[in-house]
Amino acid sequence: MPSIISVRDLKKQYNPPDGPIAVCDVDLEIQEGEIYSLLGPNGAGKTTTISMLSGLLTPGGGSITIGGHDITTEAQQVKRLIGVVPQEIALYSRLSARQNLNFFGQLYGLSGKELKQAVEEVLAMIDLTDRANEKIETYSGGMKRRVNIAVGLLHKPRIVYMDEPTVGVDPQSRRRILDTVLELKKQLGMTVLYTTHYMEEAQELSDRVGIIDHGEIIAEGSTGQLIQTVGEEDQIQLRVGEQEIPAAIISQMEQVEGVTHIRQQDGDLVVRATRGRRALPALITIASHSDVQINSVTVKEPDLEDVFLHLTGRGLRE
Amino acid sequence: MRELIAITVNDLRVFLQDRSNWFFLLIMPMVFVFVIGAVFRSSGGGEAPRIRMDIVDGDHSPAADALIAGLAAANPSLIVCPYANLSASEGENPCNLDADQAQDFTGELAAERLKDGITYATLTLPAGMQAAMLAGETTTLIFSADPSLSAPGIALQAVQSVTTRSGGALVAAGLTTTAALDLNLITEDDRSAFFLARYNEAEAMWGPPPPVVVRTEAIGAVEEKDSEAGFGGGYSQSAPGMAAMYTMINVVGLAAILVQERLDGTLQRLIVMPIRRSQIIGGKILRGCAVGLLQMAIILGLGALLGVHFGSNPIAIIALVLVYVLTIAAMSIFLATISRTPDQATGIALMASMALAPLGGAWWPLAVVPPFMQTIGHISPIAWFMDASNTIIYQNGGLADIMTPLLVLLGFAAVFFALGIRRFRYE
Ligand SMILES: Nc1ncnc2c1ncn2[C@@H]1O[C@H](COP(=O)(O)OP(=O)(O)OP(=O)(O)O)[C@@H](O)[C@H]1O
Ligand SMILES: [Mg+2]
Repeated sequence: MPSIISVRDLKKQYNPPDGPIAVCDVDLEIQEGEIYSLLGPNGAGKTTTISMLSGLLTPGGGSITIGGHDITTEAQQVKRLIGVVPQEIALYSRLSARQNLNFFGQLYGLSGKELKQAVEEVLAMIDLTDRANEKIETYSGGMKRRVNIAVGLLHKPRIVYMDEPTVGVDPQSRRRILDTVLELKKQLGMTVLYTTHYMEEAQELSDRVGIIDHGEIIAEGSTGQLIQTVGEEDQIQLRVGEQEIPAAIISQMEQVEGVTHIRQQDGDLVVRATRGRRALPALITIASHSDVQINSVTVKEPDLEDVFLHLTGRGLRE
Repeated sequence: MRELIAITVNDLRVFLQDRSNWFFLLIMPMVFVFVIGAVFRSSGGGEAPRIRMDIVDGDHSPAADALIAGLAAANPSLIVCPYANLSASEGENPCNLDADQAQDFTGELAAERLKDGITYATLTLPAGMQAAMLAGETTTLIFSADPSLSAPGIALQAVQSVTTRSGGALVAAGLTTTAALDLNLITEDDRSAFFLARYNEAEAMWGPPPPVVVRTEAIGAVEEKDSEAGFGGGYSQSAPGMAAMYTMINVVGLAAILVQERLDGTLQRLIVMPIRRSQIIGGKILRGCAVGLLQMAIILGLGALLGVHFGSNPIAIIALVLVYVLTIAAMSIFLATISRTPDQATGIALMASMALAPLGGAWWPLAVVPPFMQTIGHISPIAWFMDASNTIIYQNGGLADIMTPLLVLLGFAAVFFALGIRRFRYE
């Protein structure tokens, strides 16, 4: 089956020839009905990529084909297929949510009953039916975000781009947004291109994740596949504070089954182990026999953060 | 088209949602119409101003009579004295003359009246004028006026338009008379009568003179305060002046909303929708026009309620309003391309309007300023609007009479659109 989104060698440099290279040789193949996340830190080039894929920015090079239409020559056909949820809230704040939705709906070619129904549907989806007639400027950040998303879904596009839709919202709104994304895929079979710098979101939502950094996709695959690249090891953090840990104890711990690596870092003993939970009792026994006091224990399974760290030597949010 | 209308309607809604916009659209301009109207008003009403012009007829010939009749018909605002008294009904005294003075009107009396401000201009028709005309020689009519006043401008305009017309008729009559003589169709004895007959025919072929608008109230008002005769300006100045200025302030000020939309991202949102860019910018232009029309309707409507008479050619005033509003909408798009922030756009719009309005004669008639200032003033679109509106209001001008200002305004619009649309950035 051909991909619904197919991107080859996409490039973009702002203010050439000296400006920043925001996107560099990006290739994407996204299947219909897939949720694909672009995960990357601030300035990685996520928004620039989305902007080119939605026809807002002219690509500096490469090709973009969406639903079989080339974006440069058949922009209008592409635009009919896609819904865009921009990173910044883009709404008329003096108007109500319903007025905003009515207006944008008209621009998507909806009218009359069809428009009314579409508006009510998305309002229900974002759980804002009761307050739909209030002005946007009176809404909380999370409510604005939800309306911002709703505009992109009005015309039930086959593809929706969501650019960091959860930035700056309370946990409740965030949960609501993530659930909405999952519903879109499940109930409507929408294809979702989602960008985020929260690895938990990418991990929860995505069929596949592309890790983007400095304008390049440095790794791609399902969460499981990506994590395998750093190994299946758990990380056990034993909080020991300022205590001196004798080398003998460390080598004793290294003998425990599954443990592959131990280092001391910032008042923690960081132990890497396959199947960390099994190794944990033995580690604690060793510690207590040698009067090492353990203040707390954390077991962390490897995640996309580790993948990013492994690939770039940096954290996602620094 | 549907999308274009949707954008326009939505943008209007955004604009009208803001209460402060209503203040600038409704309250402020109304206050200014009253204040400025009061400054220029000398009589009780807001009627078209009546300007007295004395004619000292030293010729007493049919040609002189034709010229005077032409003057009286040229501009309903012009009171041609002492003839207006002679044709006035019983008890009326539009020229502020007693019967003897009207019968035996002298150059000395005219000079005195001019000095006292009872009239605004004097036109002297020299003895032998008709004879000179018949002989094909140049005749000089003497026009004197107090140059510091605006009213003589209107009087002079009337004189010039009538003499141009008469001049054209004279040439025609002269040519046909000479031809008739050459062909021996007439004899030298018939020459004078033949010439006059041809002159009248040619004059008639210019078409009917503009209809005379009779305004007895105005004349009555003049009677009451006869020492300050004539030109009141009043709302006929302030209504079009403030309409022009506030249309500029409010419509050019829309650039701020446009810049805000770019910052808010709603403009970018429009681009990723399946509509063309021309529909987006078209919607923005249409919104400008709609706000401008609303502003014009409010202020000119108020003017009409206050008695301003916008001539008898609705087509002319409608065309003027449409063209002016389009010009200002174009300026607004241009401003949006050069402003980085909404505040900057608002500031420039206000500053530009406050400079261009007085310069263009929105606050006082341009006729009161020195000629070089009148020339400079015409860099302001408002000057062209006021020129046309004065022609419509004071001379009952039609579409043809305001063609020059209309074309100049369209030129402004074309330049601003060309600059604005090309430079317009959506991101
Ligand atoms: N309009 C612009 N002009 C110049 N440089 C830009 C512009 N927009 C983005 N950049 C640069 O391009 C790079 C990529 O930016 P982009 O906004 O695509 O990143 P992002 O991944 O969306 O980041 P964030 O998570 O902060 O939204 C950055 O280095 C940024 O500074
Ligand atoms: Mg971004």
